[in-house]
Amino acid sequence: MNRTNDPELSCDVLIIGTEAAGAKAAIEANLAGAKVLVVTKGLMGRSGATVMAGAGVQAPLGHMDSRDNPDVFHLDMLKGGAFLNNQKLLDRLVNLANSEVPKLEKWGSVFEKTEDGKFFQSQLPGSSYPRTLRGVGGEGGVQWRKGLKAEIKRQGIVPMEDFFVTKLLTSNGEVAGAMGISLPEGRLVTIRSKITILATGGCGQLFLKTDTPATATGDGMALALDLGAELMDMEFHQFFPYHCYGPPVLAGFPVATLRYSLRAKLYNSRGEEFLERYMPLSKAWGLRDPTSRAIFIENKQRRGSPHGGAYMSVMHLPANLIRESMKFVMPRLMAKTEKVGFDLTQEALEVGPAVHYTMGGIRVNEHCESTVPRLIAVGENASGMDGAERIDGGPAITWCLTMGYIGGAEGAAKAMKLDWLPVDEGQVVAERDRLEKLLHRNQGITGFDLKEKIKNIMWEQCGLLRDKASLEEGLRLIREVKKNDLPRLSVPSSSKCYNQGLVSAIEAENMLKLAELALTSAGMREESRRSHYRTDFPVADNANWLKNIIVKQEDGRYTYTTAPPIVIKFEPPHEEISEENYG
Amino acid sequence: MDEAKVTVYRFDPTTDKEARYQTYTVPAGGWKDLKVLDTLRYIRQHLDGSLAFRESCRQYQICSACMMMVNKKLSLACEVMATPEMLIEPAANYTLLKDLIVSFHRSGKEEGI
Repeated sequence: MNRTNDPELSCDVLIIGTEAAGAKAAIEANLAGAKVLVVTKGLMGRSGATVMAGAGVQAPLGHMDSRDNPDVFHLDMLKGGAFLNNQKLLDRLVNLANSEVPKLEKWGSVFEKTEDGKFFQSQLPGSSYPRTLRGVGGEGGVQWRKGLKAEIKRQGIVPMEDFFVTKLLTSNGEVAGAMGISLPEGRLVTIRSKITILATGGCGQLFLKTDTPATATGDGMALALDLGAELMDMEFHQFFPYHCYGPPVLAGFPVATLRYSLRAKLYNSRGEEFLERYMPLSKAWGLRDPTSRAIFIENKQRRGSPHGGAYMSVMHLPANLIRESMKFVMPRLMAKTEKVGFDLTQEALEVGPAVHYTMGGIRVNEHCESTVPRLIAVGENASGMDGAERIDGGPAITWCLTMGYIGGAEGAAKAMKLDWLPVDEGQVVAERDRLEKLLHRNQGITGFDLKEKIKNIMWEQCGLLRDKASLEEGLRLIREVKKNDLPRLSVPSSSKCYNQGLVSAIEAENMLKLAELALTSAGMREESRRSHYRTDFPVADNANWLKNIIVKQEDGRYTYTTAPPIVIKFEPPHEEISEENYG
Repeated sequence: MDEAKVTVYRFDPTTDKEARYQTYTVPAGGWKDLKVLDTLRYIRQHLDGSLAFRESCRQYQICSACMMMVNKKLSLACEVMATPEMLIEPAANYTLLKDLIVSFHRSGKEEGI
């Protein structure tokens, strides 16, 4: 870290994160006339989860079925989320979806359209009507990236890339800016802002098996937590069932389209279509978490595939039909399987659960404001949109675009009425010293190793099947890591140029905090609700647990409270919520 | 063969006058049935924490952050299977920043696979 030349940048609105949520916020704030600075720890379009989005993006346009509308969308989300969603926030988002999602097309994203110029929309588990707009060629994320990058460029916004924010600055409890490391030269930079928007995505990297990007280490959540902002629903992590476990040559490659478009079947090692046994109501066409759980249990009972998953096959369809539809719906998968010599008309893939999405996050109101003044959170960084589970088919991108709109436009309007806050030098000096010390501590445990430890603990103790014993053991192990490993967290090299050991160490610190919140919240919630499944409390308990668990840091300790979710439109049902009551 | 010989291009502009090649011996758990990117992650975690490379989607083969030369061929490290003998170099024709990290901005236009 360069001590003598710490530059100070200033802006009206600082946005941390450049993918769908951050890019949309930057575009809207810029359109509203604010001076915008948008930063990312990676490269725009080459980091984050947006580009990996496969299915599409939801908007209740009703182009395929005119019965769809924002209220139907809202209720679908509540049913999927088992009524823990914030209805005030959700109501704004479902209504904004119809204006904000189609904007992507104007900006350059190419959608699947019908012959009469309407958006093609498909129906995925959890949606009452076809609602998922699709990127052309079955690659939504690539199209969303294209449109957003083009519009960012058109507006003359130049993202500051390879910039890792390590601290938010405060002034009398309000956010006054941020500090971060410019990675190419290891320079510590101070940024002053009037409004700060967090858009750093989820924290799927907490778990051993995950299909989330390497960047999803929950940085924004940890930054907000450090300031005393409230986080909510941290026990809810989505397990995606269609992560490719094998063959090794295809491991990790996105294959879920086979399930969504061709209704691929899942078999256990006995050739049984086992999902129907777990999900009779939805006839095996259930949401992600019960499907993941079913695969996991089949493996525990020794009916899994060699790599620990289930067999996923489209062989119930004629070979020419498979080839023909793959050509249009999933050309990338088709090219890939051809390249590696894997014939989907003859063989099954192996798929299984991987953590995919974070329902929990920073607690925000319907203006995307956190509980700390001048701090906004959008997209997967925030919570309240999805409740206990996000339904399939692309609402995550919908939240990025609609919350990006709210955060960007409203954040800019607020910023332009505000002044910069004075920042006392003490915070800046303390952060510089902290990083300096870390950089030069070359003996101990590295961030790479610490992350692996956390990921194993979380997968084993806070995974698909939880109970009191596993959660308590997980918490014990995490606290042990905190006590024994955290003080000797080290960085293998003191180089100032792209020091990934340093980045990894800070990410591991962030992850450690969030792991503790997840384990504690999951231990408190003595019931099962969607993604959170307790074998010792296997049913949803509406009488006691129709509540969100909220946590914040106070005087160096985490304090947990509960509050009923905000209800404005749809009364939660009083009867028991079935594991697959999706309407 | 259980061990892989992985030769990696190394250059840190803050300490090195010129680039060098470093060869790592990677046990089976760090390369067999894995992608090149997994092997680089193994090296960085277990053998040499100073190694730097870009990664993000890790396995979807979609973000192109891990674009580099594998045995002289422009590849995504998260796509290509690791082999017992490999030469890993930064993507050719881009400005080198450190080790396998390059700038993808070239004459104002960004390119990728």
